[in-house]
Amino acid sequence: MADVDTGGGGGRGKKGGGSKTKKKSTHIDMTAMVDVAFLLLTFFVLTATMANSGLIELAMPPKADDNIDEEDTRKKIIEDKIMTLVLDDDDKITYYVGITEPEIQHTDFGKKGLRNVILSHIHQGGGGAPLCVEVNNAAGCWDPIFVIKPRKQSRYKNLVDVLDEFAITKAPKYAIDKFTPQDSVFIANDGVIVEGEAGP
Amino acid sequence: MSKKPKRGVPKIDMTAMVDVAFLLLTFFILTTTRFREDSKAEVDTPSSVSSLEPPEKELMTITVTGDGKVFVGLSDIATRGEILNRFLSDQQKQDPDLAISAEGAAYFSTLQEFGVPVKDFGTWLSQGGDALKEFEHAGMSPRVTDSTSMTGNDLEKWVRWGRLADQRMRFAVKGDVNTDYPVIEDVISSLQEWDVNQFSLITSLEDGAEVVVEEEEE
Repeated sequence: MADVDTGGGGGRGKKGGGSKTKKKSTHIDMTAMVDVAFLLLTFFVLTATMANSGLIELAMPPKADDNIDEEDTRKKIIEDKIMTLVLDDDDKITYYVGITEPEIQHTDFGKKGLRNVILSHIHQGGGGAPLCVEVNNAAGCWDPIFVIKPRKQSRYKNLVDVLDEFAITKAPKYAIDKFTPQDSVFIANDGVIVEGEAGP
Repeated sequence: MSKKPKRGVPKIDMTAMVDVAFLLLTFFILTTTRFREDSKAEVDTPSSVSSLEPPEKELMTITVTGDGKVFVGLSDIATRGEILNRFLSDQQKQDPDLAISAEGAAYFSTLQEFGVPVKDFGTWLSQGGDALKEFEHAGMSPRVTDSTSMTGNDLEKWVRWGRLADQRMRFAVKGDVNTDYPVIEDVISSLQEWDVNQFSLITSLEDGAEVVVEEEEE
């Protein structure tokens, strides 16, 4: 047994027998070490910035070329596939399917709100046809498309919330578009395109 | 004769406590990626279920505060130097006297984020000492100018210089919960002005677990 007397019991060791001193010496006073450990621990807990950020990948279409006739490209897409979500102020959403006299409806970000709207468009909108992403674009498949049009009064949070809902519901296709004054007139007139203002 | 006098203070075996303390300490030391920097722009990012990690390299972060101020952050120190060269070579065409001090350049390369408008940028980095550090970061303008003007807004300029400085540069927008959408629209337009059509939105991971549970109910 090596002598590892830490000095703590040194004074008493001389008084008693040698064997007693050796037994005591294995006790190390850890108070200071614990103090230092907890001090450092507290420091690192307080300074730690946990990796808590996520990332939403977003791909925007290239800027529209003025030479391309927008109406022409729009007609190529079967309009019933398109659900337009207009983000209003006060965290409200106006939505409609298609572009020819659609039924204008309203919803919000609540539990039974937006997610059910998106899910029903994805799963019931096609009348039972399989989703294109699931059947590798086979003929007759259902290919729902979502368009987000945030109004000027909406907040950035609303946009992220909608994108997040898309991620949760696995919406296959979506895009962000500008909310134009024509859209405003369109909604105000319950989906009827006013002749001469924006209509074809 | 072994007659120990009874002590008033009992001995506590602290071994287990020390073990736990050091385990936690090690964990926190290893998970601390970097110390909290004094951020120029504090934002409260909206939460999402996405658990993708933002890339640590080749990233330009465009921070948009709740009141619509825009800050630019560069992840790579080398790129910070390179983007300064781009800034100088471009801006010196209009203002041949424009120069930045060596101290200014060195300070800039340490900055995680900056929000000094391009017109004040030269003034800022030509200074030294405390004036450099205490310069006000007023935030940049993402307001889209008409597309015919070659100069563009401040953000467009940095996006362009960023792409020139590092061709593999990726872009991420970090907006505040309360940022008005038109500001974000301007930021996106500024990115698209230089054909950056793919970018990321940085969100925080908060109620992800809750959302997953909800999904299973359906």
